[in-house]
Amino acid sequence: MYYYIIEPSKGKFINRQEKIKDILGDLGIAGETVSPSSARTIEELTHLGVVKGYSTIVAVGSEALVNKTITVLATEQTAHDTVLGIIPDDFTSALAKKIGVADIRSACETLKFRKLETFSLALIEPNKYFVTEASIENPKNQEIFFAIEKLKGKARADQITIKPGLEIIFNDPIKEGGMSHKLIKWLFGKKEKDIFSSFFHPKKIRFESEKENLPIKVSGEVVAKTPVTFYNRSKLLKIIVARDIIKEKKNLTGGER
Amino acid sequence: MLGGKQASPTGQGTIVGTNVKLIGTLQDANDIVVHGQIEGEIISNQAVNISETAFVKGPVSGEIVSVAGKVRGAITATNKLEILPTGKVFGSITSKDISIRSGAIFVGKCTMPNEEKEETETESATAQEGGKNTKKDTQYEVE
Repeated sequence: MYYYIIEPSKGKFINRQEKIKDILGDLGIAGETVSPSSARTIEELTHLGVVKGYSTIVAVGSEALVNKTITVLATEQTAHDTVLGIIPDDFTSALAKKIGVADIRSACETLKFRKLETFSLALIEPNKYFVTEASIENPKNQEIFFAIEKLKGKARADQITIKPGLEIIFNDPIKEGGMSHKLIKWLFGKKEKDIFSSFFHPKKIRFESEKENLPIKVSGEVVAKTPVTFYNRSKLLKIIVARDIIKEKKNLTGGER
Repeated sequence: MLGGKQASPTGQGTIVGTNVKLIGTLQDANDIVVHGQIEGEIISNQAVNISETAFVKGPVSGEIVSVAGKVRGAITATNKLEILPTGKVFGSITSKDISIRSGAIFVGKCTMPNEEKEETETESATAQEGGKNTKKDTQYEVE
């Protein structure tokens, strides 16, 4: 059975909730729907869904809602068999692409077909999980120190992006060139080799900043400040994805062989 | 994966960007590409690519090693080692297939393990001298 946590719609998306409920009803996968409020937080509602024994909890709304739901599912001992479904509010987002949905209808149909894929999550100490990405904002471009087990490093970057699987990208706009440089590259179609991005895939990475404590943002919300440790939690949560994604992956695997 | 532990081959490699400086052992079962600075050992089961902007102070080992930047330390490539025109290597190099392009700087000892010669020499040496140790490798010194 499905348990839907629907984020209240605002502005021009005010009819979104009703539209989603209608489609879910048509597809025969309607279930209990709840909405977070000042009385009941997203975390409490997710916990309630787990306690009630729902096998599928569906997060309907923003990336922040999805990540908060994920944090509860990843930490609850009894939620190991619980599957997460997602109906994102932004179908151009990386999250929507990750699960392979293009609009509300395809997201609802994806829930019905129930193809599962196990996703890796990233954990920010002490207990914030995310499936999208986190960023460390460093507008003053101060030196950032990091440690990966016995390996120590430092970097100058105005932003560090951390993705699940602990893929770390250091972005340094000074070395990458300004807007005019980027415009020239775009106009003349000149492709330069990216030597500014770093990719590490460790199990754990700790960041420290030189002077100020830098904020760590997930889905636009500050969830922690440096010094901070990120952990990779591989293959932790089953998420419902579009059928095409799995087909594409199978084809790719077949092609490689 | 990093910091001295053996990584599982997931298909993802490690890339060290030009704005990053590392101290310690960088180890990955997959490819390693270095654009930045590393003070310590680099170990890969596959390819190691030291780009033009990179500076490595420490030993490097991999299956295929390509150097376009600067390396101060020994390089061991189990399959092939290539020093590109912009490459600068100060240290000994060991590989069965070595390519040093025009313009490259190499200061150190070069060792090329020659398995065929090694086997023949070992067999004859064993027969004649009762197993005395013989020189097995072809060695060149360039400075």
